Amino acid sequence: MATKHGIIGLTKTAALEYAADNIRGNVLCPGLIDTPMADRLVAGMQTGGIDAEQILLSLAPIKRRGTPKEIAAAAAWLCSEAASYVTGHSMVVDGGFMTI
Amino acid sequence: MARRGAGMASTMAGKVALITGGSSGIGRSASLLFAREGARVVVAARRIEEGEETVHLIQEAGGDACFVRTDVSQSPAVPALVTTCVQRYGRLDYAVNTAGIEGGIVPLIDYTEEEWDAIIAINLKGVWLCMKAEVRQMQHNGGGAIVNVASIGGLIGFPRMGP
Repeated sequence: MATKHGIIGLTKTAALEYAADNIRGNVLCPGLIDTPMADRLVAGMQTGGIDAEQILLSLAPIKRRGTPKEIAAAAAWLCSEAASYVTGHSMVVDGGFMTI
Repeated sequence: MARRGAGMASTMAGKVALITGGSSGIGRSASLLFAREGARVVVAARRIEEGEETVHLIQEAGGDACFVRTDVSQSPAVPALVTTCVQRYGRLDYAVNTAGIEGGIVPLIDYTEEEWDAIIAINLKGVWLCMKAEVRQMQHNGGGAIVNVASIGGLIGFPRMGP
């Protein structure tokens, strides 16, 4: 968590410093995505018969893991000219997890 | 250039993208998508076989990519990565910094200093080192866009995932 919070601070700083150079900087905040890392994290969270995957999925309105493609699509949009007025932003792509 | 990304407002034709952590997961997926949108992609990762597989998948689909073995926590390696990017493709327009590792699922007070330092080195210092080199190149070629991949854990806390 400390490094992820840190990335947001770093990116906001860069957004402020380099907008004048026509450089935008944004953060993507994925929720539970179907990746090898998520597999390892979920496995590590299992304790005493608790199904960590089901608990995490039950906390988001879209009750499935996101796909890496869904995060890649957000990254592509943030880089594209369609996002030319977006900088210093932290975009949540998490199936609604953070709305609760 | 065919427009294959449904809903994309513009293609990435003629653009050059650097994707760290491109050997698997979100980084691999971003590498494939950016290439499909027409960008030339530099895939950076520590794992050679998996990184080269990402490049192979891009080339198979008709895209242009190359792999550069990189540990983002190593300060001489990161500017060298951006230099390779420019030598190969002439510029740098987009950077997607996804390289990162997860720590053990243990309470904050039980993390060892070694593990703490290792995670900070890759997940935080690594992003800073990448941005340093990327921003300098983007200043040189008149602009660019950087996306750093964090997590919803960048906005809230999760127990036993301190670093």
